[in-house]
Amino acid sequence: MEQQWEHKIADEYKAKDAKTSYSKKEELWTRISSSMPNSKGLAAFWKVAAILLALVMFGGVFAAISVWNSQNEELIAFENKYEKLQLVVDSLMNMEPVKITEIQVLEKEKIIYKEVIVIVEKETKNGTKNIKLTAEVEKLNEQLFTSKQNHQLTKDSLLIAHLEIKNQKKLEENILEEKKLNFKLKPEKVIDQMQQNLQESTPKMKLQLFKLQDTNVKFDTNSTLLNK
Amino acid sequence: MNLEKLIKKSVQGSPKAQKIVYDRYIGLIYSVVFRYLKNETDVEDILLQSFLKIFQKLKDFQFVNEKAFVGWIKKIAINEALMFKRKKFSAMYKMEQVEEVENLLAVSPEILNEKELIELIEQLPDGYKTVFLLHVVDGYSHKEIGENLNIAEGTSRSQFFKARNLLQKKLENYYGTAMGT
Repeated sequence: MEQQWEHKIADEYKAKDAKTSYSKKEELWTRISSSMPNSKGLAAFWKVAAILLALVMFGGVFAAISVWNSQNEELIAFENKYEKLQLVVDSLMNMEPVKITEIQVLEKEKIIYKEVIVIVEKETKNGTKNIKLTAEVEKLNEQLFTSKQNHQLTKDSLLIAHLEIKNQKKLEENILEEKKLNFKLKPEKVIDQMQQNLQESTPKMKLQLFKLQDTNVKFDTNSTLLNK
Repeated sequence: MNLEKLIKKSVQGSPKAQKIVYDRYIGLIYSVVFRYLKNETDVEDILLQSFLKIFQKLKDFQFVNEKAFVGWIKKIAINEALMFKRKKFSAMYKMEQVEEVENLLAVSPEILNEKELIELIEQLPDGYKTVFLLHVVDGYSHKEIGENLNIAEGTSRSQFFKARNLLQKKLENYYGTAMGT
């Protein structure tokens, strides 16, 4: 009898054990897993890897969002610009054309006459020969014009030279005439002995004269016995 | 997954396998530990220590079948609970003079339901209840009880009989009231 009770009690407790659940089992597991030595390194590795992955993903998402935003802004700016340009085009199309009178001053062209031999083309059998002839004639006309110009230049230069020579001649003739008119004989200056003596008034000069006389003056015709 | 494979992977250090083993048996271990410790904080600490010990000693366990494994983990949990109680047990345990009742009222066990029976057992003094449950529910011999509780084998036997007598008295009182005696 007692054993029956004991069996029943054991069975009841075993049934209760099988049905029981623990409400805080997740919290307890975190404590257990963190306390276990083998899993620490592995868990830490995966934690770090998960954090890095999350950072990379976050960075990627952030970059994508910022690129998308900037592109959106550009699109809006382009749309605004397009609308503005469209308005300008519409306004220009609706505008009436305005007549503006402008005054332009044109210079008159200088008319240069040229002697040209013009050959009237006649319909001949030899068409090409005529064309050649006209070309040659034009060439000759040009040569004639240039030679005439050169001739004129030479003529002008010769005239100028002639005038210069004439002028020079006139000038020389004038100078000669002037010289003739202005020519005079210069009066001789006769110095008397008396004038010479009067000139030797100062004592210095006298001394000098004497000196000169004293020194090697042999053929001095002015010397007299009185002056010695 | 097969339990043997789970155990092997848990021994290799696979957190996933360890979690599966934990989820499968946490309820059972909690119920077992709660039998001996009523304080939730103490129960949580003993559960933590028990599972740490289970995973630590798992490499030494020779798998036979699930029943053997369950018995093994229960024993670890009960030992942890009893080690915690060992200091208090001698104080809790009172040498109550309980009269040995003979010619007990023959009450058939089928009358009581699970809840009532367990309630009656819970009403027993802690020391008697521990010995009673260890022997009747968890299958410990009096020698093993003595070793775990640091008491003599004879003390374990006497405590067990006393627990049984007390339980019988409670049953008499319960059915006496019910039967109007």
